[in-house]
Amino acid sequence: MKRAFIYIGAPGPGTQRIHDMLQKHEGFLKKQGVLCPQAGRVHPSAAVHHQLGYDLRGDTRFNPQAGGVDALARELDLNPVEKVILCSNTLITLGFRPAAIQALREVFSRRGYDITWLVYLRSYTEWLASSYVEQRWMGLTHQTFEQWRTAHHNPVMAAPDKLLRAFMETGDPFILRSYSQVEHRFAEDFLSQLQVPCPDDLLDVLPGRGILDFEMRRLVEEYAALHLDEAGLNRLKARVDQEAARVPRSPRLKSISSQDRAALEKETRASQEALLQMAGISASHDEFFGSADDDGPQSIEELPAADLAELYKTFFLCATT
Amino acid sequence: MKKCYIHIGVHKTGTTSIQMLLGRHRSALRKHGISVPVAGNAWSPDVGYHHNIAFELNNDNRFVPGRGGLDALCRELEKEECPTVVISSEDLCVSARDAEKVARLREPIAAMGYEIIWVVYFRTYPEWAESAYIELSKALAITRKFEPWVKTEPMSLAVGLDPVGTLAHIKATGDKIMLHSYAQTSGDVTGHFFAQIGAPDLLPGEMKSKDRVNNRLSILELELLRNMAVHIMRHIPQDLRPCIRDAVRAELGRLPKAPSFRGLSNPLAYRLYESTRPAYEALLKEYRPDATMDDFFPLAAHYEPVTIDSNPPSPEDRLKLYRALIRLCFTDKFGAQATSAPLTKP
Repeated sequence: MKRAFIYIGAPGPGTQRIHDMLQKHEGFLKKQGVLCPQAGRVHPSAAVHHQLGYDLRGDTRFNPQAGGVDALARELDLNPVEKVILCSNTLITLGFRPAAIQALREVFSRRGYDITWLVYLRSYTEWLASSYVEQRWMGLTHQTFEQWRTAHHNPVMAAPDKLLRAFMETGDPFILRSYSQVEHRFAEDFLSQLQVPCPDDLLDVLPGRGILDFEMRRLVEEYAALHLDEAGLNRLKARVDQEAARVPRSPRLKSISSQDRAALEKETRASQEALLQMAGISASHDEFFGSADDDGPQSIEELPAADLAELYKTFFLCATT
Repeated sequence: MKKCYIHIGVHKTGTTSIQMLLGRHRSALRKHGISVPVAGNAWSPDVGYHHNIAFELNNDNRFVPGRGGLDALCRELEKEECPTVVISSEDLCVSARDAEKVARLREPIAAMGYEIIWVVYFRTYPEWAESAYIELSKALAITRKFEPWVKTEPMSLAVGLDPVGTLAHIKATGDKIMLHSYAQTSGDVTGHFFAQIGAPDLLPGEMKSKDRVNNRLSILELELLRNMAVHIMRHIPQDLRPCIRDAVRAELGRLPKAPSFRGLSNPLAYRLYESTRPAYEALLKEYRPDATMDDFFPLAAHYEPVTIDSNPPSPEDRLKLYRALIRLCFTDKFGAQATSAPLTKP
C-alpha cells in the first residue's frame, strides 16, 4: 500500500531539525524508497514544501516556478514510489480551509496513496515562550516576555483543537506527537513514524540555545555597536558561529515567569485537552505536553565560573583575531 | 672644564630609580655642583628624566613641545653655573643608534664648553630581553607570548642584540663612554650611578633593589595586557590609546593576586646568552677590556619560567581576568565604560 506522510507543523518545535534532516539524508531516504518531492520546495536543495502551502491557500508568496499542487501531481506520476513525504509547517494553516485540504488529498488519493498527517505540538504556553526566545535570538525583539506576548498572542495556535479538527475529520490517520515526548530527538522520532530506519550519521540531538549563547549574542551586538561597522559585525558573527562549539552548554534561557505560565495555561488548557480527546490520546494534558521546568538560572552569574570564563575567552578571541 | 653626563640607559637597568632620585635630590645635587636640568622632563618636572629630548630626537609622537626640547635645554645650560650637568633618558640609547641624532644632541652642548661623558649600563641579554618584554607589555605594545616574541623581535631588541652598534656613533665622536654592568651594582644601581657623577655620599643606601620602581607583572596582569594590546591595536586609533590606559590600569588593580611572571627557562636563557655572547664580548673588548663576561654579564644558575600556562589560575581567577578584559572591550575610544550588566533573566 502506498503511503504519503504529510508533516504539517506546528511551527516552532523541531521543524528546522526535520527540514535539516530531510535535506541531509535525502539520498538515504531515496534508497529506502521514500520520495521527498521537488515540487513546492522553497529552494531546490531545501526539502521544505512551503510553496505547496502557499499555492493551496492562495498566498501571494507562491512562486509558480517552484511548482504547486499541479507540479506535485506530475512528479508523483513520474515517480511511482511507495512512500512520499511532504514537509511544511505552512500546511497547518490549511486547518481553516477544508477545501484546500481536500485538494491536497486528491492529488494523493488519485494515485493510490493513503495519507497520514503528522503533527508535533507543544503546549501553547511553551510554544509562545519558545517563539519569544527565537525572536530574541534573531534580534527581532528586545522587549521582556511580558511586553512581547501581548502583541504576539496567536489565537490560532492557542486553540489547536479548532486548528487541527479539519485534518482529523478527513478520517486519515492522524499522528499527534508532543515536544516533550520526543525529548529533542525529532529526526529519529520522525523517521520512526515513517517506518524508515535511521541513517548511521543521523545528527539529532537538538543542541538548543542556552543562556550563554544569548550572552554571547549580546556581547557581539554591543561590541559591534561600539567598535565595528556592518561588515565587521558580519565577520564577527561568522567567527562566533565557527567557534560556537567552544561556548559551554548551559541551561535554556527561561523567558516565562511561573505566574505568566499559570495564567496562559488556564486560558488554553481546555482547547488542548479537547484536542487530545479528539485525537484519541488517553494521556492527561500534563503527561502529554510535559510539566514546566522552572528551575533554570535567573542570571548567568549562577553558572560555574569555568563556563563563564570560557564564554568570555571565546568572545574575546573571536572579537580580536 | 665643565662636564655633562648623558645617561642613556639602557632600558631596564634601573633608569627610573635613578631618574626619580635625580629629581628628588635636585637641590642637594646642586649643592654638590651637579645640575639636573628641568628642560625635557616629558611628564613631571619633579623627576629627573629628560625623555622629551629623546622624543624630539627620535620623532616620537610623545614629544610635548611645551615641556622643552633641545633648544630649551641649551638655553638652560647657557645660564648654568654648576660645573656638572646630568641628563638622563633611556630613550637616548635609541637616538644613539643614529649618528645624526647623536650629533644634534652633543654638538650644542660641546659648543658650550662641556666635556661630554656618556654613561651606559648594560645587563645580561636574556634578562634584559625578558625585562624589556614586561615593560613593553605594560605599554600595551606586545601581543605575543614571551618566547615567540623574543625569537622574532629584532626591532624592539636591537639595542640589546647589537650593543657595539648602539655605542658606535658615540664612540665616533671621541667622547668618553663609561660602560657599566647592571649586575655589578649589586642591586644598588642608584648608588653606583651617583658615585659615577661625583656624588657618592648623597644616597647612603636610599634605594636598593627591594624598593624597585618598576615591579614585575603577575601572570594575570600580563595576560590581561597582552590580550588587551590586541584589542587596542585593532580598534583604538593611535592618538586615542592613552585614553584607554587609565581604564586598563584600573582593571589591573582589580585582578586577584597571582605569581610574578618569569619568561626565561634554562634552555632559553642559555640559548639567548650564547647567541649574543660574541656581541657582548666585543662590547667588553671595546670599552672594558679589564672585565670578563662572567663578572660583567653573569648568567644566573637557574631560571624557572612562571607563566599562565605553567600556573593555570583557578576558574574564579580566570573569570575575573576575562571579566576585566570584557569590561575593557566595552570601553569606548575615549576611555568611557559602555557596557551593560551581564545577561539576567528577561
